[in-house]
Amino acid sequence: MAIEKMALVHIEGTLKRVNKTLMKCCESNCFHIIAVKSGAGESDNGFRSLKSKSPFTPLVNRYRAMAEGLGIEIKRVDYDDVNMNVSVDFDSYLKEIELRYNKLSQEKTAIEESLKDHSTALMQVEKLSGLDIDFSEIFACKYIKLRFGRLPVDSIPKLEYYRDRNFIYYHFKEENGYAQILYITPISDYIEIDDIFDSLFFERIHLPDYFHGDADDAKTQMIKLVKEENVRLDKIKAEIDDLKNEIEEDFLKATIKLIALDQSYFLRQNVLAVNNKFYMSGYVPKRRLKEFISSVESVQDVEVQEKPLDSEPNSSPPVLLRNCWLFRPFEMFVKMYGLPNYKCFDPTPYVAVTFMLIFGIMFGDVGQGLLITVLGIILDKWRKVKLAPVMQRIGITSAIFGVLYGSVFGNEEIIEPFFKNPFIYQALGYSEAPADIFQVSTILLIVSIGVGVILLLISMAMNVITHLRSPDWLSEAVLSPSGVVGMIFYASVMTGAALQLGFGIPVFSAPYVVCLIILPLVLLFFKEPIISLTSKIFKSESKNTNIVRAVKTYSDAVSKLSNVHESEKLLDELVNTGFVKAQYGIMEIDSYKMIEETVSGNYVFYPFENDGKYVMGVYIAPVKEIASVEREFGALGFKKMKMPDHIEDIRKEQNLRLFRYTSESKKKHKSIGNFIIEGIIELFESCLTYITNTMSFLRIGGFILSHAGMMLVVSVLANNVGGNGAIVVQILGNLFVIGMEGFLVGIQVLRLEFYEIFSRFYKGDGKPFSPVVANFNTDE
Amino acid sequence: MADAIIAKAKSIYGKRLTKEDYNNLLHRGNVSGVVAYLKNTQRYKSIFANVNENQIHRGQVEQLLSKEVFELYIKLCRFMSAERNSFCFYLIKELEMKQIISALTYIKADSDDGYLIEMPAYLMGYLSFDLMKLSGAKDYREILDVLSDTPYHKILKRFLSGNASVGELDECAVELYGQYIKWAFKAIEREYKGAQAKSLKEIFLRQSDLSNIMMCYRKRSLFNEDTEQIKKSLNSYHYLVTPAMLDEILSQPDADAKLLALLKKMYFKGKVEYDPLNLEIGIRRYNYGFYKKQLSFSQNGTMALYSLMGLCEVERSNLQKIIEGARYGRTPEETEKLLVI
Repeated sequence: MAIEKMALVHIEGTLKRVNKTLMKCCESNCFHIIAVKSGAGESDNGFRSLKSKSPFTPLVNRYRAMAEGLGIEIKRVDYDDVNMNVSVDFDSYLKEIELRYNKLSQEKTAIEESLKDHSTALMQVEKLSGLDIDFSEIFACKYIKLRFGRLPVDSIPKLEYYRDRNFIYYHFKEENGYAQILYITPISDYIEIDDIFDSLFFERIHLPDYFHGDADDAKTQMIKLVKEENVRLDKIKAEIDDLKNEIEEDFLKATIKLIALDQSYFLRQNVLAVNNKFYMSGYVPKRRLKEFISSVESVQDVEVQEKPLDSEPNSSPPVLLRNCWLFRPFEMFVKMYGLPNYKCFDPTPYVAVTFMLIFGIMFGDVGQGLLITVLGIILDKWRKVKLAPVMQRIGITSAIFGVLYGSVFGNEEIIEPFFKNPFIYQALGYSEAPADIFQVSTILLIVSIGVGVILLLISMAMNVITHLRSPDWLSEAVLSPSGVVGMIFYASVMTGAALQLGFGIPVFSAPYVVCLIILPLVLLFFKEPIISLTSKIFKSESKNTNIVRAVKTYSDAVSKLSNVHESEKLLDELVNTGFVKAQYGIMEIDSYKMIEETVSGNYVFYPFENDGKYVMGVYIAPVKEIASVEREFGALGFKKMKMPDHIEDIRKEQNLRLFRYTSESKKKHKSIGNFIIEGIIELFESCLTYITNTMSFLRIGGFILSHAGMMLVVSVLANNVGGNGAIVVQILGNLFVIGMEGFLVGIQVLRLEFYEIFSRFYKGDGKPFSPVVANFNTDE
Repeated sequence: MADAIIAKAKSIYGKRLTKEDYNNLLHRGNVSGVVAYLKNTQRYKSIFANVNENQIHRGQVEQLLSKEVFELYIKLCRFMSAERNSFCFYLIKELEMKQIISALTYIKADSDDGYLIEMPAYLMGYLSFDLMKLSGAKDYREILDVLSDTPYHKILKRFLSGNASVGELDECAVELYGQYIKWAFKAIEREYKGAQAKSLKEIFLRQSDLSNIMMCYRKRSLFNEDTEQIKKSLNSYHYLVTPAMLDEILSQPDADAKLLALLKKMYFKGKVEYDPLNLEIGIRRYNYGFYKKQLSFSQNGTMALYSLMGLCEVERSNLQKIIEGARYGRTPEETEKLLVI
């Protein structure tokens, strides 16, 4: 029940096996590849990222087109029994299908085009409905011209102006601002008449010469023709369907294998190559490591090595949540907020428990709770709705609290509510059993706040535990409103208030107030100076311990050649310049002696090993100057090498110190006035947050009362209606309450989780585990 | 009512073509492409819904665009209150004047059916004379007959007694425009008071100023006409540019430069880009800015209506330039210079 443990693996092998290895990685479905920085060309040490163009892409496009033509949906299937491996095999298989399909497709296209023409002609002839002239006679006219078409309605009155010209026109029907027109003119005048109509924006319709009879006859002919063509089209479509059914299974397997091969080429950009070998790194869940290694190493000349997680400084392990069946559905809410960091813990169990608990308290009803569970089961089985498993669980807690409240579909007479138990109501200070839950409303609201206080304190404790081992433990785990100091303040105030106001026990004595309330506030106010002061102490300790010890340890062998104190002094100067970069490598001893006079700018060189001829060491320089330092070391014959693990430690330590330095330097320049104003505002904001966070939990009690109130309304309505109508009202009322209030309560609980609880301890800055897979999405 | 019409006008203006739309339209190679694009815009989709973009003629597109502006105007006029109804027909009056001038111009050019083809048939029933009869008029006498019962007859009779020259037709147009402004002022005085009346009158006076400067510049720099001839083409109404100022400028040898300086000083004020060879574009730019400002800030419903119609007219004119550009093979860059965006 936590974050899945990851293993960092390095895979290397001969270059010709890279595709097969990537295919194996895809098939394993558990390999999260570490991306190589884009734009990285060939580096100085000869490594280059593979970016070759996939030879399968054109084939994939053809396969996809064929799948679309045949109506085959591309989905993941097993393709182990597909023997095709190279382009030629896939090509010849597709050609066989294309030969059969293209013949049918061409025939289909021809029919569709003809159908389109005839449908258009049908539409045109429909517009001429009422014209009782035989089209054959019209087409046979030698001395007159007839034109069909449409004219804008605005132009119709203008035709009057040309009444002395040699033409007659028929005006059929008008629609959409146009009038259907037929005009007839002698062949001697048709050019002039056509010009007139053109100037009036006449749009001619060219009638097909296969029209016979009058408009109605032509329409009948067209309808018949269109019908026949539709039959032929259906027949061709059936033949295409037969072809699809015949080849679908094999074709789909071949397509999926081809896509996987093509995608493996896409993944090649994350593979580095040097000489004839390839290298790639990635993360695999530890429990699947053996299986993964044996699968990938089954490829000839490929080796998989497990490495320590911190040996990949530029990448942090991805996060894969793993929870038991009870809590798993609640991972959805955690992912919604943001995955946890790999080094932190998975809050899913906490979210699951609190969510179920709070929902149960707020929406306690046996009948409605069980109904929500049943609805959850149905939605899960039927539609695979993501929220359905959550509904199953919260429905059960709702039913449990329903038993406590004695509520079954709003009826409180079947089961006795907890507050009617003499032991409980007497303990609560009542002499006789309260009539309904509204009489214990004050106690309910106080209990709600109590639940809130406990949950907030647990959240703060979780914040302390989470940050205890982090570099900023002092500011986050101790001196923050959600840290130890904040916890002490909040717990003291709330406990004191509860004891004094609730039970009349005087708690707020002077030592109590000074030690447990004022002192924490003072510490919160002076948080920054305290952190600054302690970091200075830790910084000097660090300098005197970690770095220098490491340098001294590794430079013992070359103590005569190096001046550690001088280097240390330089290092201090370097630290003040901002971020640095380090490069490990080897150089001749003569070159090493010339470093000081050859290399200019800010840098430190730590020599670690010396065999009398060569010196191995690391130079560190500010990022801004690294290029020039690199060039000058290069001129001295310095050859870059991968930094050994033990030296990595120094670099990490260095980064840590720099991080502290930069974060401190940002805060350094602050006047006393600013400090006081900011301190007061921050302190005020913190106190306000304690109050608002606590008051926010009042909604728990509020919704208990609201639920009871709504069910009371349903019950009163049902009683007023009476008879069978009462049952209908009860059913509809319960459904309404489940739908509306259940939804509202769900949102409110989620709000409490995200705003009140998560904000105290959780930062969703983890990156998701995304195993490499072949992408079958057709949109790609 | 004013609030309703202002809100409606702003909402209609919100559907105007954007810079991106203009850019896309400029790169459509032909009229069909322009129409196909307009068919998919919110503002023009309804008027082009039933046209066949592959067969439509440029002239028809232009007529449809004009018709759309007019129908919008008629629709908005229904929102005006009855007591302020008469001024709202300013556009009808303006169109009547334009139709008369257009018909006269075609007769002068001996074009038998030129005006008939251009004649906006959608105006039939809205004007105070029979538009079809005007279209059928073959000479000035027939025009006078058609307009015999209208206020235009008195003015036209003075100019159309013989065979009127082009210059006389220009003078006739000036007279008609003067009569139009006079009518507008009377309607404004009857229906509006104080600041509202003043601001509405100012619109006409500004237009009169701009028209006078442009006329002077064009006649002097392009046709080198003498001052007396030019003065006949000027409107008698003025706002900032008095006849005395124009007289003085026209009497100087570098009058064209001085006219441009006057236009810049009085109206453009360094905010409006203009090309001396195409001064109309500069004036349209000025008007566009003016109407936009009025529509944004005015609380007067009539002003909002007037401004919106002005803005719609600018958009229609832009589209006309784009269509002409597509028809005559102008480059998008050349056409863009003619647009007011």
